[in-house]
Amino acid sequence: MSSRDDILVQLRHSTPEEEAYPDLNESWTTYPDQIVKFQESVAGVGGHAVRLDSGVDLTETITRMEVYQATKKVASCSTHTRIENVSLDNISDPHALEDLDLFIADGSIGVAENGAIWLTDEKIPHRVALFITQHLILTVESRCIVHNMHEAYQQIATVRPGFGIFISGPSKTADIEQSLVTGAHGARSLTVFILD
Amino acid sequence: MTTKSHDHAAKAKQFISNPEKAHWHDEALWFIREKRDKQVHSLPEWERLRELASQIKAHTISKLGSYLVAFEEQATALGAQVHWAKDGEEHNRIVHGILKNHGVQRVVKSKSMLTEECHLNPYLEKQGIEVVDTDLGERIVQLRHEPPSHIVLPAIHIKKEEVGELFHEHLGTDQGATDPDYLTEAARHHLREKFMEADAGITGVNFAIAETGGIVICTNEGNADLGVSLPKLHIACMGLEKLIPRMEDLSIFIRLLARSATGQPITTYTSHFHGPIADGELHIVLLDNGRSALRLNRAFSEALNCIRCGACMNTCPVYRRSGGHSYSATVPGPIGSVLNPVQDAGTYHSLPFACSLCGSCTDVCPVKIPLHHQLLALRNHIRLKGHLAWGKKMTMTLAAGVLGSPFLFRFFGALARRVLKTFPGLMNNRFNTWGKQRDLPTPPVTSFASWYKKNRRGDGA
Amino acid sequence: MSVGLFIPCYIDQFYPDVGIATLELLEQFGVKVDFPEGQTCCGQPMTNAGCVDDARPLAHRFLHLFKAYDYVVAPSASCVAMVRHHYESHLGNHPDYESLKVKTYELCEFLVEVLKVETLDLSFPYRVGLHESCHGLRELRMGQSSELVGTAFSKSRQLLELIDGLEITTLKRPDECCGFGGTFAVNQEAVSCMMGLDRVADHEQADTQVLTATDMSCLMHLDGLIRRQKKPIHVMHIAQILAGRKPAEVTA
Repeated sequence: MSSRDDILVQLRHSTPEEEAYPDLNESWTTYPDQIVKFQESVAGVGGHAVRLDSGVDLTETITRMEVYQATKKVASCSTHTRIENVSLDNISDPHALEDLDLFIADGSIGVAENGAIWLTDEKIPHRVALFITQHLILTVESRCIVHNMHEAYQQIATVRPGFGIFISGPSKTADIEQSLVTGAHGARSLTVFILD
Repeated sequence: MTTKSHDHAAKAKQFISNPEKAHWHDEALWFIREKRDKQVHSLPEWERLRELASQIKAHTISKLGSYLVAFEEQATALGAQVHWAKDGEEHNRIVHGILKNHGVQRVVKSKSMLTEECHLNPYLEKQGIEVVDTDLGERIVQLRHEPPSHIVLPAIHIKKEEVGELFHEHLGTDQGATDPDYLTEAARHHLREKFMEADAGITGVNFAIAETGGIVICTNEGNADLGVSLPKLHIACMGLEKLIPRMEDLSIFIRLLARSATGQPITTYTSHFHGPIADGELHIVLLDNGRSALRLNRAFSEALNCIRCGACMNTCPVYRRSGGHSYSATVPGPIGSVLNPVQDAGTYHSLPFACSLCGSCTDVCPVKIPLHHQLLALRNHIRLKGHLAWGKKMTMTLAAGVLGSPFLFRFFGALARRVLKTFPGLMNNRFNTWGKQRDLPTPPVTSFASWYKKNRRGDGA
Repeated sequence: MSVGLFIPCYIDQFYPDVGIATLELLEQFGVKVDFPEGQTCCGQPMTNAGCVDDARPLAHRFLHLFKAYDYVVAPSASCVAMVRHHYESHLGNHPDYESLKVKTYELCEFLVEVLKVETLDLSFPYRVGLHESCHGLRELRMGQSSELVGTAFSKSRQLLELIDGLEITTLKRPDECCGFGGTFAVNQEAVSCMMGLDRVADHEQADTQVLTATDMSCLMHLDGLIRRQKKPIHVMHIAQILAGRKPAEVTA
């Protein structure tokens, strides 16, 4: 008998009475303006959210950023901007992204309650770019900002094999005497562009 | 018989012998409790979330076998490989086997209390494999050759001066440097090298989804993701109880987890893995190690709800003033004081008594484990297993004898009062533990019962 | 209505005035109070020490003595919590246990819920620190604990607020445990006393003149620390304040 068999026998033996699965349909907190709340939440977690009016050029806006001007290596998997001098498509070994300074990607959902952005690696050949980059820029369309995690998970309905992530703010730690330090291992900064 | 090394009271006393440090530790953790309060009070539906989470867990645990089989099926269909380990020893052999097959020499590991429970690091190191813990707090305690003192904040007991000294020795930072930004930056560079060199990444699992075969890992630092996105081999270690039925359930648990743990609305990274990375391998190791047995122990099975948030530790007035190491266990604090003695009453019998039964842990637990009631019940359980000190048992039997008889009660009560009044200094001796820092009550002349007899009986009341 | 008065063992022996104040207070409201002889202890010390079997005869004694009354009132949240929550294994099958659970009240609960006290003709011009005992708060739910999300309330505070001149002080940690915990006070003396001293320090910074609570066990521990430290804080059980005693009259 394998351990699997042993464990399953133990789990089927003297089964405790089955407890019902609860109904999760309840009314959850929503906000008068989820886009404003989203911006506040992003700031609250140490990120920087900027709402771009339609017609404003994202590429142009990025080039004027201090973070961009200091970069040497920038890559983009965003459909809204092709600004880059490193192409993830041309890289076979993700280790080559060690010196990536700035990475730009598109999020598909923004969550007002916690400033989180959901994205998958569908359009990102090397997901490590999200974490190895010194600075991260994510975009999210304003119509894709939901109030809370319940609404977000309702949308993440069809699961495809691969990788999906909620990113809320830059990498951080408080492991040294509870002092908050931004940029522990991942991105030192997160800028979110809310697109109309 | 309590061995000195597992006696919480003795270790707590030692911790408090440095009252400045004990107060500092207490304030540090209370600060996190306050952050938690601020976050949860901003959600009017908080108690509803807790209730639903506990119901989802109760349901899942009642059908754990079928959900695990479903999870295995789905995960395997996605290309992951699922392994089953009945105890820590087997877990370590499985993990080592996978690493050996791939010729792995250097591993990076993100925070996993389960791997601590199995003592994986020393096992792998003995086999010649380098294991680097990449969570900053974990790396700090790893360099100090000590276990973490908290399941979420491993280095909460360490001052920045001590980190400065440690990093000066191991990372070459400036002597005397204590600035957290500077020290973290040094750790960032040091660990980046380790991520770049690693042959494999080992992680824990926060939640495993039965319906999709996916696993979810939450971090603030991004170390788990870095660790498994560079090397092609990812080994994820999880306890059987980490399972939840559906993706939708995450909406409840993700809202509860970080708020309870650190007072954040969500961790920076909440990564959902479905199958291995392209051209890579994902191995999921399921560990039992007493969990299936605990499930059948109805008095304590709710402890399986635990999502390892650490909120009970942050709020526990005893943990805050004694530190995680006083519990001599991988998982300390209130939840550890249930899990450890249930599995091994002989070694951990002091833990349920390391508790004033205040109930704060129960009220903060996001999955509503009735911790303080379980701790009380465990005391009886420990007595039944024969691990209660004979002296304690005898005292209680004698006390019950006296208190069971009104005559004896009044007799001994009056005697005690008279003796204390006549010889007030009698109690000023080293056997009087109560009197070390507290005065005794001034013994009154009469008891209530005598007063009542004199002043009210037959009074037509 | 007939009320059976339960006086905890250590109050009977060491703090009889708390029992007297409770009795006088209830009589002030016209309640017919009886103190059944033969009562001793609710069995908490044994249960807390893990000696549940030793508490069984005490549980049976309690039921036997009190089952005939309309209500049972005790100036102790922890004893009431023992009766309502932890007698199941001793009295679970007994036909009178269900009604005993429902009719056993801590003093402040009784005043608020049954007697519906809305005014008190009292003056107590002191700054009062209210120590919310853990049993009262998290077992009997006499108030909202700070961990939970919901509307704040506190039955003991509600009563104190009816008293003229009484000012309730603001603590940094409104409901942290005092550290008594029964045998914990002795078996974990170092932690117990640090917890207690931290509570005392909180009351000091809050400018508390009189420290009160629903449980004499907490107060015995805090008072012991206060007197050893020679702090100028008076300790009074809430029954004594509600019955009209003044700090100078109460010698702990």
